[in-house]
Order: sequence, then structure tokens, then C-alpha cells
Amino acid sequence: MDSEREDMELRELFRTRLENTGIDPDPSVNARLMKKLARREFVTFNPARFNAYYLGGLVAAGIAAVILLSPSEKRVLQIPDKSAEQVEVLVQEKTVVPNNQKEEYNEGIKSSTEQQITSKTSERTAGTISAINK
Amino acid sequence: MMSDQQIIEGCARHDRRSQQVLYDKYSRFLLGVCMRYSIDKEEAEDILQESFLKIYFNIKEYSGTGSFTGWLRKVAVNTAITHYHKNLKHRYHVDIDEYVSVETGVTSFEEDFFTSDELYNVLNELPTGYRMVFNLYAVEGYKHKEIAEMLSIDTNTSKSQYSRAKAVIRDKLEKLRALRKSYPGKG
Repeated sequence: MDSEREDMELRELFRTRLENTGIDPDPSVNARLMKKLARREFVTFNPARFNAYYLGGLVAAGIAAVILLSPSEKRVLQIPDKSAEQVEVLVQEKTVVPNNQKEEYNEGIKSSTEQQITSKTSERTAGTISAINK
Repeated sequence: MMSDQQIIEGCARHDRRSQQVLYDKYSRFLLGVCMRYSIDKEEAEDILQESFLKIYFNIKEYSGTGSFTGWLRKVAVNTAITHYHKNLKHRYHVDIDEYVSVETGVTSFEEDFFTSDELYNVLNELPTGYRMVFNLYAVEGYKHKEIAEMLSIDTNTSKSQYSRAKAVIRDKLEKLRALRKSYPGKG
């Protein structure tokens, strides 16, 4: 019984003295707490406050805008023929031609190109006629 | 002057002004709670910060039943327990036999006047486990079964730790009383 009474007295002593006793925190605690709070709120989604999710969305939108608005270059040119046939213009290798021979050189290139077009057109016409005859 | 209801609603909206008012109004009280579970003021302030962060982010969970102060205290106690679990493996465990030096028998402290600082010092000097059990049983009023669940220990362990904590506290208070009798002007 005495032991129980002593136990109750000890508990009462600590409860009455300490249960509602206050201690003043150091002023720096408030500043540190507010910094931690700001950091934690930044990484928590809250529609009413700017946070990391909004920042991520802005960055993603910026990258997408850069990708969509950047110009793209096309290297294959298609020149329609007068007869509506596609003619592939072959890119010739650059040949260094002296000035006094340029006219002859260009005439040579022109005639060989015309021969190629003529032979290709004949082949296609022949193919078309033979297909009709069949 | 904001009422508790206004503070709660403001904190639920993460309004910085309401959060500051809550801190200004209850930090002193909550540090008193945290101090009972700590070895020093620095540790108590760490627990206090974590407690406030939990309060700010979970204030919507306060349903309005029971006192707001009681809810705040509960958050602080739970934070102290979490802190205890986190630091358990890093603490230096001291054998209780080093602390129980004198068998004082039954002692009455009814008429004695011990200041809150003296009682805080007595608690701070206890081994951590005994301090946790003593606070939860003697001050917060939890049963040993509840304490065992909270601290992940056995019920018998909780009872024996409380008993040993009492012996240590009794010993320290006896020495304080003897010191006061020797030097009546002090304290």
C-alpha cells in the first residue's frame, strides 16, 4: 500500500510540475523551422501555391516548345517534269573546268542529260504499250 | 488575436501567417513536452521542429473532438517516440546497475518542493528507454500495454523499466533534498 502511495505521489509530482510547463525555444528555431517548412511545401503539390510540380511542368513545356519551333532541313528536292513525270536530278560531282572550256563542258552535260531522259521516257512508253497490248 | 479555429483553418490552407501564429502560441508549451523526452534542449528543439512540421501538414486530421492542446501534445509525443526509434541503434546503452546505487526504500515526496528545472534535469539524466517509459506512464498516463506497443517492447519490459526508472529518480531526488537541507539558502 505504501509503495503504491509513494508511486502515486511521484507521478503526481512530475505531472503537476511538468505537464503544462513551458520552455522558451531559441529564436533560431523559428527561422530554421520556416525554412524547412518552405522546402517541404515546395515539393508537396498544392494547387494554390507554386511548387516543384508546376516548375517541372514549365520546364517540360519549355523543352517541348523548343523542339516544335526549331526549323528542320530537307535534302531531297523533287522537280516535276513538264510531262508530269518525276525526274531525279542526280547531283553530279563538282568538276573543275577551265573558263575557256566551260561552254563545251556544259553542252556535253546537257546532251547527256537529254539522252538519259529520252531513254527513260522511251522505256516507260514501251512498257505502257506492252502492258496495254497484253 | 486569432482564435484556435481561425489558426487551424489558416494552417490547413498553408497560410504562412496562421502557421507563424500557431508557432508563437504553442511553441513554449510543446518544447516543455519535448524536453521531457530529450537529453538536452538541443535535442528537444529538433523534436519540436519535426512536431510542428507534422502539425502543419496534418492539421486537417484534427477532428475537433477533444482539446486542440491535447492533440498538439499527442503529435509531439509521437514525434518524440519516432525520434527515439530512429536513434535507438546510435545510442550508447548503459547498464542500469550503474545508475541504481542506493536502495532508498519507500520515500515520500509529498511535501517537497522541486522546481521544474530540477525535475527536467532528473529526467534528462535517465537512460533513454527509462525516460520514455516513465514519461509515458507517469506523466502522459498510458498503460504499460499501450507503452509496449508504442515502443515495440514487451509489457514486462515496460513495467521493469518503469520500476527501475523510479528507483533512479527516487535516488536523485533524495540527494537533491539532502543537498537542500545542507544548504537551505539555495534553490
